[in-house]
Amino acid sequence: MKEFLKALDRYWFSWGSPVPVGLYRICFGAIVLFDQLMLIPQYQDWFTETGFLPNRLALPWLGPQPTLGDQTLARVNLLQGVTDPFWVALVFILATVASLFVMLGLFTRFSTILLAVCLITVHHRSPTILHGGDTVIRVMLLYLCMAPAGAACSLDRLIGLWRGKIQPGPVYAPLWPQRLMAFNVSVLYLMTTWIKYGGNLWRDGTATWYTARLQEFERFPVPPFMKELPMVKVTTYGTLLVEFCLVSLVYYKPARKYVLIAAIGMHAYIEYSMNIPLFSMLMISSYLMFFEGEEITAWSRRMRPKLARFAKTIRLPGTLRPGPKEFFSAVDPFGLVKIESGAESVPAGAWRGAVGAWFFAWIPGLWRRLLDRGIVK
Amino acid sequence: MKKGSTSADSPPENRVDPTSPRRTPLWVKVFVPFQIFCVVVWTLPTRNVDAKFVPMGTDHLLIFNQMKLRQIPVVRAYVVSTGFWQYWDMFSPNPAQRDYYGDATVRYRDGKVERYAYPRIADLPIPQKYPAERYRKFFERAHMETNVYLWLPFAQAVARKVDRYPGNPPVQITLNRHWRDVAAPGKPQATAYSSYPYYTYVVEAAVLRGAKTEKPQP
Repeated sequence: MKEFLKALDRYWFSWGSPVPVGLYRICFGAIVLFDQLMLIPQYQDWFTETGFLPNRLALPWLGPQPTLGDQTLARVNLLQGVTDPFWVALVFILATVASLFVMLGLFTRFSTILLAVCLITVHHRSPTILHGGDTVIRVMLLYLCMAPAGAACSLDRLIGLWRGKIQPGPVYAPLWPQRLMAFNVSVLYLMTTWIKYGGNLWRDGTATWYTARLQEFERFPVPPFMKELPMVKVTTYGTLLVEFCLVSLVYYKPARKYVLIAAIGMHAYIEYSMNIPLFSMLMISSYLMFFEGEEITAWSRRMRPKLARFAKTIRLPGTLRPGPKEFFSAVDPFGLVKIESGAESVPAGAWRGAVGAWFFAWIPGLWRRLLDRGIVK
Repeated sequence: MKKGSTSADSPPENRVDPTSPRRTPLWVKVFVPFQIFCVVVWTLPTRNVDAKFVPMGTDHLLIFNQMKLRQIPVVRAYVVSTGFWQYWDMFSPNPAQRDYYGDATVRYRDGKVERYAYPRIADLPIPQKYPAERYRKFFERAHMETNVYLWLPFAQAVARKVDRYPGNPPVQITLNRHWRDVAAPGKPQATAYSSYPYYTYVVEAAVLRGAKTEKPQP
C-alpha cells in the first residue's frame, strides 16, 4: 500500500520536462486562433443584440447562478448584462490576439489567463452555439493557465536564452497540470463510452449506420462500403473499444503507441467524413499529455542520424555568443544546422536548404539578421 | 514554481533530485484531488428520475452522485463559476436518427412571399461547411419546444436580415423546421423531408430599426 501511494505521489507530483505542455500549447493556440478567425464572418449573428442571440438569452440556457451559502457567485463573464457592441468586440479581439500569443508562447502566463477570461466570457455570452470542441477548449485552457506552458517551446524561453536570463539545459517543471489534462481527456472518453453503452444502437452495432446518413453532418465523400454492414459494425464497436482503451490501456506504456495510433485513425476518419469542427484536432493534440517530455526529447535525438542528410553547415565571420548559441540550438531540435566560424560575412542565402531554419525561414532576412546580431567578431 | 529552473541551479553538494515530488507545495496536493473529484462528479452520466424509473446496477451510484455529490455547494460553485463545467454526450446514448434544417417564410407588406434560407450544411460547398456548423448547432437547439424563448429573437433577427426592399418591409416571419428520419438497416430510406411551420411572428416596425422587444407573441 505504501509503495502504491508513493507511486501515485510520484506520478502526480513529480517534476519533469514541460515539453509536452509546450508542444500542446502551440497546437492548442493555433486551433483556437483558427476557431476565432472562423467566427469573424458570423460575429454579427452570434455576438450582437441584433443577431440571433441577444445577450439576455444566455442566462436561461446556462441556468441559475451558482451560490455558496447566502452568496450568489458570478460566472467568468466580462459581458454579463453588457450590450454595448464596443465592449463585446473588444473581448472578442482580445481573445483572438491572446490565442496568437498563446500559440507563440509570448508572455505566456499572461496571454493564457487573458485568453481564458475572454474565451470563457464569449462562451458564457453565447452558450447556445457551443459544441463539443468548445468544451474541450474551455476545459483544457483552464488547465493551461495552471501549467508551465511557456517553459518550453515558447518565444518566452527563446528570448530568455538569447538574453542569458534563462540557464540552458534541461528544464524541470511540475507535472501535475499535465497529469490533470491527461486525466480529463481520459474522463471524457470514459463518460462517452459509459453513456454510449447505455444506448441500444451502440450495443447492437448499428450506431454509425445513422451517423453516416445524417446529411447535415456530411463533409468529404466516403466510399459507400464504409456506410454499409459489416463496416458499420466495425466502426461502431471499434469506436467503443478505442474510447475505452483511451481510459485504460493508454496508461500501460507498451500498449500506448498502438492505442494512440488507433485513436488518431478514429479521429482522422471522423474529421474527414463528418462536419464536426476542430474536435478531432483538439483530441489528437491532447494525446501529447500521455507522453513524458523526456520521451519526446529522446525521440528527437534518435531522429538526428536519420535526418542527417538534411543537415547544413553555416560558416560565420566569428563565433556565436553563448545566449544566441543556445537560442539557435533550441529551435533546431533535430540538430540540422551546424554553425562554424570561417567566413568573411554572414552568407546572404544561408537559410536556403537549411531545414533547421524552419523557425525563421518564413520571414525574409530574419535568420541572417539574428545570426549577425549573435556573432562576436 | 521557479520558471525555467534547471539542474544547474544549485551546487552539486546541495543538489536534490530535481524531479522529486517533495518540491510540490501542499496546496497543490490538496487541490489536485479536489479537481479530480469535481471533474468526475460533474461528468458522470445523469438519470431522468421520475415516478416510473426503476434504478438498476450502477443507477444507484449515478443517482447518488446526481442528487448528493453534484449538489455540494462548493463543487457546484467551483465548476459553474470557473467554466470547468463539461458534459461528454456526443452521439450518445444513441446518435441522432433525424436530420433537421430550418428556414423561414417571409411575407412583405405588398403581399410578396419569399423564403429565407437559414444556412444549411447539406447545401453548402465543402469549404463553407466547417465554419457554418455553428448555425446547425444553434438551429438544433433553437427550434425545440423546450427552448421556446429562442424563437422570438430568432424571428426578429430574420426580419432584420430580410428587410432589404425600401418601402416594402417584412410584415410576417414564419419559422419552419424540416426533418427526415434515418431508417434502420434493411429498411427503405426516406428521401423527402417533412415540414412544419412552428412559429409565426408579426413584425414590429421598431424591431427593424434594431430595437428589442420582449413582448411575447402567440
